[in-house]
Amino acid sequence: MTKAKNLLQPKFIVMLIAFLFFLILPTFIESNYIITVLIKCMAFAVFGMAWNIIGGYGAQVSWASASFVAIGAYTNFIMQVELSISPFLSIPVGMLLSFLFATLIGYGTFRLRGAYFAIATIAFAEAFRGVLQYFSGLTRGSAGMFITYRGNNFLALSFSNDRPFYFIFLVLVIISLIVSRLFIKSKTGYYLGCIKGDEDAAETLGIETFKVKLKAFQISAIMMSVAGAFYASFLTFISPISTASFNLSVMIGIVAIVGGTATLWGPVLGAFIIVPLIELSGVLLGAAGASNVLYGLLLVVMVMFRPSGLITILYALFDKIKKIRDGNRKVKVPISVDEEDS
Amino acid sequence: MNYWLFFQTLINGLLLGGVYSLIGVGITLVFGVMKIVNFAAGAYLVWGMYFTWVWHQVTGWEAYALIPLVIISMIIFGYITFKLTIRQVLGSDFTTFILITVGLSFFLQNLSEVVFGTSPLAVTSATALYSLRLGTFVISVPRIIAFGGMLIFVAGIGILLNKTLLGRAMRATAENAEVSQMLGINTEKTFTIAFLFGIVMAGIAGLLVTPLFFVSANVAETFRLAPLVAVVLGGLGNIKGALIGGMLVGVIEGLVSTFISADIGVAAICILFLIVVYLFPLGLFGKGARKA
Amino acid sequence: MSKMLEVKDLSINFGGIKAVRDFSFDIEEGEILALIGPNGCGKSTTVNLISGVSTPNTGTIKYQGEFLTKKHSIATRSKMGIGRTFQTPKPFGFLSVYDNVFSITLQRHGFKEARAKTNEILKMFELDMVCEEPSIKLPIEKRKWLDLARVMATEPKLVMMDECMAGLNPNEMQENLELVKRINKTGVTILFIEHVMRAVVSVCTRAVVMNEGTFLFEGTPETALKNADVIRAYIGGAATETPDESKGGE
Repeated sequence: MTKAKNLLQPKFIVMLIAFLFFLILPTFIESNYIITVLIKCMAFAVFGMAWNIIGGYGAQVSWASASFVAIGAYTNFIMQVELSISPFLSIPVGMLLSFLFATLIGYGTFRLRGAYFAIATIAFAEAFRGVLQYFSGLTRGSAGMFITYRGNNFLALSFSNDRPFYFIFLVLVIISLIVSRLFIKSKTGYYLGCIKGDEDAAETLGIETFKVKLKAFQISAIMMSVAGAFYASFLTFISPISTASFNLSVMIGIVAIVGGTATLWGPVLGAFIIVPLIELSGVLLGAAGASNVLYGLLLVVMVMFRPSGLITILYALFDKIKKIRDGNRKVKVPISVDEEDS
Repeated sequence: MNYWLFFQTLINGLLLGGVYSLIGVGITLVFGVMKIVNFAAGAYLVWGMYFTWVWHQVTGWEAYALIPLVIISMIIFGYITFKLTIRQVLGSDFTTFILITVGLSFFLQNLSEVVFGTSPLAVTSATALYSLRLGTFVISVPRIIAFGGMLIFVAGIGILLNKTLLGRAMRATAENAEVSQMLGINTEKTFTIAFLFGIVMAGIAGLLVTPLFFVSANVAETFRLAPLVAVVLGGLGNIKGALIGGMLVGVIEGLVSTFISADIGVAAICILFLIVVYLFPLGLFGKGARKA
Repeated sequence: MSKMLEVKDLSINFGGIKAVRDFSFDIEEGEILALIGPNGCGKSTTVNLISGVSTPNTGTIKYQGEFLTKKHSIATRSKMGIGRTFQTPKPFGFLSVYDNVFSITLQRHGFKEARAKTNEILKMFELDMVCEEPSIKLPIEKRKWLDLARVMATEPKLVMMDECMAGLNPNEMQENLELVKRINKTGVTILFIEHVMRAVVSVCTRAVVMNEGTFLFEGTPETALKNADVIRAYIGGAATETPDESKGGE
C-alpha cells in the first residue's frame, strides 16, 4: 500500500517522465554534435556523483578526480591496444587500481583532519600525470593514445556513430543514481553524515572516522574510473592533459557544487548546466583562459552565496507544490476521512 | 654515481627550494593565524611576476629594484581579492576555504592569461646572465639572490612576529582567536594583515624567479604543489618547518628529476608527502596541527 | 560492587604546564560520582584523558579491569562503553535530530531495530516532537539533551557529563537531574563533571574534588561543601580563574 503510494509521489512521477524523455530524446535529434554534448553532460553527471560521495556527503574535497578518470581510461586503452581485451574485462582492473590508489592517498591523510587530504589529492594528481608521461612506452606519453574504429562491436565499445554511447551513459547515470542512493542509506553513508556534521563528536560516539572516510573515497574512486573507461571509449582519444589534468578535476568539483553537493540530483543538474556552458563559452570565449576565468568565478560565487547549490531551488519548489497539494487535501479532510473509515 | 652532478643538482635544488620556502612560510603564517590553507599562493606568485613585468616595462629598472613597487601592487591586489572573497566567509569550515581558495587560484591564474595574453613574457635582467664559480660548480647569480632574498624576508617575518606589537597580536590570534578578541585584539584586522603577508610573500617569490622563468600563467602549476608539501613536511603553522621543508622538497625534486626523469620529480614529492603524513602526522618537527 | 574505573597517578603536560598531576580516583559500578573543582583545575583534561582525546604522560587508567592505552582509540573506547558529552554540545550540523541518534544506534543494530531504538531514546529525552528539525536549529538546552541522547545510543556503561548544567536555568537543571537519575537506574554509571557543586549535590553519592590539577578531597557531597580546603580552593580559584579551561575543554 505505502509502496504504491510512494510511487505516486510527484518526485517519482517527475523521475519517470524525465527517464522517458531522455530515452526517446535522440530520435528527435538529427545533429550528432548535440548528441555528443548530451553524452558529455551525462558523463560529467556521473563524474559529479562520484565526486559527491566523498566531496559532498563527506565534505572531504578531492582534486584527484581526473586521475581516477585517467586510470579507467588508460587501463581500458592500454589493455585494448596491447592485448585486444574488451573494455568490459579491463574495467574491473581499472576499478582495482583506483581502489588501491585511493587507499594509498587516504591511508595517511584520513587519520588527520581538514586540508591534508585535499593537498594529498593535488600531490597525487600531479604525480600521476608525470607517471603517465614517464611510462610513455605504454601510454604514448604526452602524445596521447588513439583507439581505432573496429566495426560495430558492443564488447569493444566501438560504434560507427556516437548514439549508442548516449544510451550507455543513460544507463550509467541511472546506475550511479542508484549506487549513490544506496550509499547514503547504508551504514557507512549515515556515519559519513555524522563526520561531516562534527568529526570530533562522531569519533567519541564510536564512529571510526578514518575507516568511514577511506571507504567513501574508495567507492568514489571506483565510480570515477568506471565512468572514465566508458568516457575514453566515447572520446577515442586520451592524453594526460585531456584526462588527468587539474582543470578536469576542478571542473568535476564545479559540476557538483553548482548543482548541489550532498544531494542526489545536484551533480546531474550541475552537469546539464556546466557542460553546455563549457561548449558555449568555448565558442564565444575560446577554450582556455577566458572560459576558465568564468568557471573559477562561478566556483567562488557559488561557495560564497549559494553553497547548497542550485538544486535546492528546485527542492524548495517541490516542497511548495507538495504543500499546496497537501493544503488542498486538508480542506477536503473531514469528508475523505469519514469516507475512508466507513 | 656522478658526484659533480649530484652536488651541482643539490645546490640548484636547494636554491630553488628557497623559493618554495618563501611561499610556504607565507602559507604557514596564514594558516597559523587564520587556520586557512591558502591554495591560491601559486596564482598570486604569477601575479607577482606580471606586476614585476609591468613595472619593468614602465621604469626599465632591474627586477630587484622593483621590490617596493611590487609589494605595494600585491598589497592592493591582495586586499581587493581578500575583501571580496575570503573576508566574506570568515568563520566558515575548512571545506569552504579549500573550495574558495582553489576557485580563486583557478580564477586568478586564468585572469592573468586573459589580461596579459598566452605568450610568455620576459623581464630582461643583467644579472640573469651572471653565474658564480665555486670550484667546479656553477651557480647562477639570480638563484643566489632568490635564496638570499628569501632568507631576508623570512628573517624579517621572524623579527616582526617576535619583536613587534603587531606580531604579538598575530601570535595571540594564532593561539586562540576567540580569547584574543575578548582581550581586545582586532582579530579581523590581524587576519587581513596575515593574509596580505602571505600574498606579498608569494608575489616577492614571483619577482625573485623572473630571471629564472618566463612570465606566464603556467608558472602557477610549477609552484602550486611544492610549497603546500613543504608546509606539511614542516608542520602546518611552523615557520622554521616551512623554511626547511621548502629546501627539502627542492632538493629531492631536483635529484629525482636529474637522476631518474623530470616526469617523476613530482611523484617523488608525492610519495615523500604521503610517507611523512603517515609517519609524522604533525610534521617532521612535530609541532604542526593535526586538524587543518 | 566492583570498580568501573580506576585512575592512578595521572599526569599530563601542555607546553610545560602540568594540567593534571598525579591524580588518582575511582568510580564504583552503578554510582553517580561528581568530579568537581574550580575552573581550570583539570577536570575537562581528565575527561579527555579517559575518553582518549589525549594520552597521559604518566599514570594509568583502568576500565573494567583493563588498562586503557594508546591502542584504544577514541572510537574503541566508545565501543567499550565509555561515553561522554561536551561542554559545548556538538550536534551533527544539518542532520535531523532523528538522524543524529539513528546514525549512532546503527552501530549496534540493524536498520529495523535501530529505528525502534531511536524512537525509544528520542521519547526518553523528549526530542520526539522535534525529530525532523535540523539539529543545529535546536536551542541550547535541547542540544545538551541531544548530546546525551546520542551517548545513550552507544549503549554505554559509563557516561561522563562535562558541565552539563552550565547555561541552564534552575528549572531545566532540575529536569536534567531527574533524567540523569533515570539513566543511572538503567544501570549506567555516571561521572558528573561540574564547576558549580550545588548543582549536583542532590543526586551524587560521592564527590571527588580536584584543585590545580590534582586530588584535593573525597567524600559525600555534603562534607565536601563544608570542607575548609575545598572552600579555600574555590575562593582562591575564583580569583585567578584562568582561560586554561578552554584549552582543556576542547
